Amino acid sequence: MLFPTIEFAVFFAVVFPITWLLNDHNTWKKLFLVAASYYFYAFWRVDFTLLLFASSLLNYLAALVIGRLQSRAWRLAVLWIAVAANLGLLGYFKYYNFFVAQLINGFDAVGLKVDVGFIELPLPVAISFFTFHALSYIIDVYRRALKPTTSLLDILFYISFFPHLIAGPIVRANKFLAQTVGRRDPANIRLGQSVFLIIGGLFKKVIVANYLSTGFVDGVFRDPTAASSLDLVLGMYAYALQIYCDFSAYTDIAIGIANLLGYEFPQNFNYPYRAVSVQDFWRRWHMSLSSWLRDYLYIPLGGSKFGTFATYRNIMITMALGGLWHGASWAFLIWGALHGAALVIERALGLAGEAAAKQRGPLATAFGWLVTLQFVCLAWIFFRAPSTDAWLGYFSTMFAGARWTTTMTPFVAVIFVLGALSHVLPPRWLEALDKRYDRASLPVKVAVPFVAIYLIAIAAPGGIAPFIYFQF
Amino acid sequence: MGIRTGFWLRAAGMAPCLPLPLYLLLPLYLLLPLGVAPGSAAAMATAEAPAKIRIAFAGDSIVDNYWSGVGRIVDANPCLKNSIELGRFARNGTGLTRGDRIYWPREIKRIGDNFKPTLSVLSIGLNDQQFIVDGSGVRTAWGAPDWTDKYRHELDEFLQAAVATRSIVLMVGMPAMRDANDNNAINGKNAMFEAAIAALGDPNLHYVEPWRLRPAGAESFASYGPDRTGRLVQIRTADGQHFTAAGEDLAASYLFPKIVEALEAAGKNLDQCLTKQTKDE
Repeated sequence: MLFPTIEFAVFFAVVFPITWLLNDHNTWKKLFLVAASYYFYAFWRVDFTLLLFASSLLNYLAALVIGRLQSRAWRLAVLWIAVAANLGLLGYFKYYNFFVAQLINGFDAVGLKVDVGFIELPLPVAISFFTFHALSYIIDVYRRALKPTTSLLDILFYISFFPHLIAGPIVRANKFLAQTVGRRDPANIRLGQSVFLIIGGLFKKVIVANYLSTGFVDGVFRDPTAASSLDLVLGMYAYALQIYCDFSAYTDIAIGIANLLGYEFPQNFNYPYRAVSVQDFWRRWHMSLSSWLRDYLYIPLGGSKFGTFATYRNIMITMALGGLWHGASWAFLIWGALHGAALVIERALGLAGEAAAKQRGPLATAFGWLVTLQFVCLAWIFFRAPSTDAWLGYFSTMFAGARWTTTMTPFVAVIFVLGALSHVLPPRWLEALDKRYDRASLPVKVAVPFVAIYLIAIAAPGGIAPFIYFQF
Repeated sequence: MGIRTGFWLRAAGMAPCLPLPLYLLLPLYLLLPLGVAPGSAAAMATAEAPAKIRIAFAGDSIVDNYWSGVGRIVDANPCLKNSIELGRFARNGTGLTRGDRIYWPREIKRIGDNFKPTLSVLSIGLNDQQFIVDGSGVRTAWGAPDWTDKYRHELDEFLQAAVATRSIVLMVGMPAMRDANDNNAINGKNAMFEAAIAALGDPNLHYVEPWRLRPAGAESFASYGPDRTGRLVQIRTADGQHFTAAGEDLAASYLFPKIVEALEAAGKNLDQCLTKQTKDE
């Protein structure tokens, strides 16, 4: 069930009032939301709800055991078993075939034949996201940063809660479980903000991302060697905008929906293309993943505590694995490693960190923004290009500068400008809009989302394109 | 500089401080519904060029895979690129069942009117395991006794509309899927497509057997397979239905000769662009 569909609208129209009707009966409310979330997940495949349940149960039990053990060594042993089980599940479904193919191709290259079979199982939707949710919970319990909950219902609720289940944001266990206690205060709902997050998200996804994709980006990336240099340059920026509008749309809608149900999710995007360094970019792009990687991978690896070489190594490992988290392909690994290398270079040149940022003058800041934007957009080519040949062809044709004609239609150009506005509009304007909405009369409050969603629906291209991050 | 308020927005009690460019773009936004469908803008712009062979790819998301793969074959050959215009008319998540969303008989007519294809490559049915809403809004429940008859009727309407565009129509069967239920469904649908096309008996309408990874024997889904160089690569996407780029190339190398053959049979020869080898690929 995708957010921008009639099915989801009907689903939410049922879930929203019942959730609030059950607000004074917290256990029933959570039971209802867990049932609704499993129903939501079952829309993709019913049998994988068992996997979701098994993962939740495993981590619930592991956390209980870790919480009760006094010996650090035993706690660590149980944690490792639980982490291995989580990653084993993820690896089996997501990476097994990729590694088998590399193995066979590697041996074949030296004239040896190996007979290892592929598995033909569907990749469970959201497995990367619910695995990371579960890991955050058991690692926090191991670190004594969080007490294990004795309520299986709370863990089922935390891991399966439908707004974040499919494509994040990755909500930390300590932040979410604190919200599962007692009734939620309807006064905490930021109606204007939630409504505009949802409307804005729908607009970014259904209009901007979909039209950019089908109207221009897909054509450019289909065969980059056949495109003009100008199309490749524009295609690179258009894809950067498309992936931002697609992914940030999902999390905007998720945050808005969760807030309407009384729950707080963390911010996941903060004008990422305004970043003035690659480090700054990762503080603005998919913030819940980058902070997860920092806290549960980079820091356990040693972070920056053990000298320059170890720091650079830890950055590279973290970013390469972060890239591979997106999917089993060399392109994602290269994309992650490129970002890692950029972070290492920034650190080596003394450009990283708050102190360096404060010392930069306006010109250096502008230059930093320009360089960062170009780097990020160029790196997206690896992310989008379907094969090694494709990204090699993309770069060679783009930098050859052979033809400077474009197939971008005026219509797509308008969409591009509309998408770019998402990075130009100052936050205070959006806040003013939220406040204006909050003060508006009830008929206006009702009319605005209906009219906006109606306009988006009639302006949308036919068919429903899934969100890019669903595949991760 | 931004206009401080807009009258109609203020009247609605929600006037924000919007920048001038946004106000200028609002009328355009309201005109979006009149905007042409993606991919068709460029296609229509070139529809005037009479010399080119126009190939429309229409249907659900699988046809986008064929569009990509065939597109790469065409792009790689300057002569083909000058001779052929591809039109992309796939609509994700649609099918013959949900006329309330997209009624494909009407859509295919619209494509015919605007793009005027010489040949249409159709693939549809991937999303059709559900209730049917026909073009007039009448609903038939999924699993109802008359569901298959109704689906067959929708299929006939679609095929007749495709033939009415006066283009050569290649209806491509759906390839093997990973899920056993999906596979059973598509096998049934492929058989229905073939039978419906035979029953219509139009010389311009052809059923194309689905692409197979293994030329002989029982076909089964494989997410990895040898690419054209023999290296094992992922050829089907994680959803177990669509093709990756490498898979698109394999499917297109099967489909493109069928297209050439159908065009030749209709007197549209591409011999000037194709060697014997490229013709067979």
